[in-house]
Amino acid sequence: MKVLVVGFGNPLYGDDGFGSCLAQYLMQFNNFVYDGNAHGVGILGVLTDYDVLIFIDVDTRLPPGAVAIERIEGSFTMQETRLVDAHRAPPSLLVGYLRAVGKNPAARLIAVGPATFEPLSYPSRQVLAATNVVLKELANLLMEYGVELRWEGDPTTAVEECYKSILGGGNV
Amino acid sequence: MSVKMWIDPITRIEGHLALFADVDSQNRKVKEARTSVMMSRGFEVFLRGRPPEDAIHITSRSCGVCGAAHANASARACDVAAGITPYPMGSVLRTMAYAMTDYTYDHPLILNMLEGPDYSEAIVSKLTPSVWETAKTTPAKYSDIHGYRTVGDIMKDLNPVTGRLWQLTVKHQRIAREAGVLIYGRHAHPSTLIPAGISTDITYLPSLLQEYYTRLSLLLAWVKFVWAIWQDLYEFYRDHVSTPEGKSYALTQGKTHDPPVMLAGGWGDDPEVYSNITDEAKGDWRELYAKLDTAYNARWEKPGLAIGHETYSKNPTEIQLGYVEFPDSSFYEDWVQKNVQPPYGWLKEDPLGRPLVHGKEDLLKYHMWNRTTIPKPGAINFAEKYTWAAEPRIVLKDGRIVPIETGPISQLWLNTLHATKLEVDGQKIWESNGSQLKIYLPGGTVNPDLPPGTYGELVITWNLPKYSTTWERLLARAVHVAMAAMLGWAGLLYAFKLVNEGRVHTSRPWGFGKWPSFSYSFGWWQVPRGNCMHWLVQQNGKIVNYQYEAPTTPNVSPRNNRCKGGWEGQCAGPFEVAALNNYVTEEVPPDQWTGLDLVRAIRSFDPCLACAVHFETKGEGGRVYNVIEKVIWNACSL
Repeated sequence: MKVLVVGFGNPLYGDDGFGSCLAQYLMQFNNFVYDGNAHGVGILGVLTDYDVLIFIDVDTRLPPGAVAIERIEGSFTMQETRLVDAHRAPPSLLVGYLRAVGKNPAARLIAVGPATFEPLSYPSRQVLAATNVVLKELANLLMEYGVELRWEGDPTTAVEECYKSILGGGNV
Repeated sequence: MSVKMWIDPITRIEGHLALFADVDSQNRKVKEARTSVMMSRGFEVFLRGRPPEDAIHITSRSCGVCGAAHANASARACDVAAGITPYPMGSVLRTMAYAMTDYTYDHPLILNMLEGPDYSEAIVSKLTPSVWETAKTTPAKYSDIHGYRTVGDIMKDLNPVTGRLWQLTVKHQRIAREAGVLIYGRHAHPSTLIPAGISTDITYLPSLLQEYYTRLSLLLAWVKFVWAIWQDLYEFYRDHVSTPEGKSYALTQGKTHDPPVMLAGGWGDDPEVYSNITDEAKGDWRELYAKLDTAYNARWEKPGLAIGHETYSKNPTEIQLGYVEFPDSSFYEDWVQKNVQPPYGWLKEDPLGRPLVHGKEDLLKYHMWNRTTIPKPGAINFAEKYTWAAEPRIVLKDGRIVPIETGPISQLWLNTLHATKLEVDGQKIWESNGSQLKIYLPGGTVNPDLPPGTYGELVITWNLPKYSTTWERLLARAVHVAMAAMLGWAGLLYAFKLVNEGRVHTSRPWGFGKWPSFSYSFGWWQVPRGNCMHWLVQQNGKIVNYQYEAPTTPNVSPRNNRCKGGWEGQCAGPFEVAALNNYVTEEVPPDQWTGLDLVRAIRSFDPCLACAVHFETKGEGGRVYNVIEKVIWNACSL
């Protein structure tokens, strides 16, 4: 069973980058974690060989700071594609495209409700406070597939540091 | 110890490109470099079945930068397949517009806004502080033109957004686009290019030419300014900056193949020659094809393929006989192995009866007229397939198979090897002698935003280099912007001449459905980042196969094992070879290396990878949906 955890988002847009920064932190301790950043359909090639995909991303349907476990279902065909911005590809689109080309990974999303997408802003306190919950839920999900999640130190601080390195310091 | 770099995406280029590099932290030498294009190309798939003239406008949409590039290459392919070319004024207007919308707009933008930040105070002082200290005290040699006292002063004004050079570029790229849009109607996708002509409204042609001249005069001062800045920077990196092994930065970093393989299509059709071939061909498209080499060689910039300083051929119909594309390392099905023939069967000869790929049965099916695009997405695997860019190679008559480099440097390279000159209406535009090229810029070009040193006459001299390096490519672009603006000037002079003679017709009569029962052709057009090449096969006014090489395609080619005759160990496109031939010069610890030298090498080509199908699939509210299994309300955060 090949499992990949993918963190998504653009840290230049506040809470949107949470998944990316958390993935950057977890990649230090786990070789099955990948930082998808804002690469959109550009990372499809990376996703094709896995049985299980677990995404970390924001979900605007959720209130700020709430954490949800979501299952990505359904499929479509190549004929149903349309021209849109290739940068904006949420996990559901990527999974849909994988299924359209004959791959069928089980796909889950650990989502956090965002509070701000303000350009060049730091993540909100609500999203930062959800960091440990996300990690606990991620560890539980991975256990279902016999995979152990490892980390050291304080993940919330690590996410803050990630934003600092990208935005150039200042107060979080 | 190895330092592994995965730079994804590379910023300040057009499109999506990733670079992987493995660098020895002890001697700072790059040990391995691979590039990956992250998006599918594939306009060829849906061009089949459409009228050929539609390709001019559809392929233009491949990219928001190369729009006019593709439209022009496609227009030439259509001209030949239709068997008719424009009247002289049509060709002149095509050239005048292109000189502005693409070259004079694009080259300075690429230099000052996309590549320039790599040589700005912000980057140089942070990552190479010793270079910055030297720059601050190194006098600028061309200050009488650009007005800067030291090289450091230039670097300060290259700072993004706040720098004066950055801001002047924003202003002047607009002026260049305005000049082009007078003729094209719009930018980046010209609305007026048609087979055998151009549909620009010339009811008020003298007024149009005057509007063009007003802008061109400002821009001729601008290109002198841009050249002087980059000539100074080039000489600084040549004479004052060294690699860790003590060699000149400008002459060694980012070197491509040895010897380099330079391909150029030329551009700027000679108004009379390109028009006359239609009369001489008497409506026979094959006769027109037979005269193509004459027409291409009469272009105001010259076509050809050179191996080092030796010209392999000046004739595009001869060069293209061996032009093949392989799918070994890229995300496409091998149409030859799958035996997927084009609808008309495997073509074995060109329109003149010469065997494709010099009669090599095992390779002719990889010729562009025989290619079928079959996308095959997959995971990146450097041992197998790792990019959406395919692998163009040229099979030479003697059996050698070579990779290809193209860009402003290849265009100047071929111009120089042609040892020729261009004069229009008694005014010398440029001349070359086999090793040196001179461009003659007129005086009286007053531009209130620029120093008076840009107002007078100027002769720019370019010496043919031995290799293509990061800095040779940058310098070539800076020289070439002057060349391009001068072709706009040449076009204007010629337009005045035609007006005086009363020869203002632009297009030969042509209408929908007016196509031979079967014809095939190609159109090459040199553009700011390479040679844009289109191959067209049409049957009764419908495309049966259309293949094209975006200008960057040869440069971004991945590795394969197809090269022969000296290139076996360097059988990759120039991006990968240039990235490999680098030392890291950053003066920070290895764990803080950013890959500056590598991205400088890549950016010097002005990569444009957006010539791709941009697709995305229905998800929201469609057939793929998220089911929320549980929500954890984090009390601490609410």
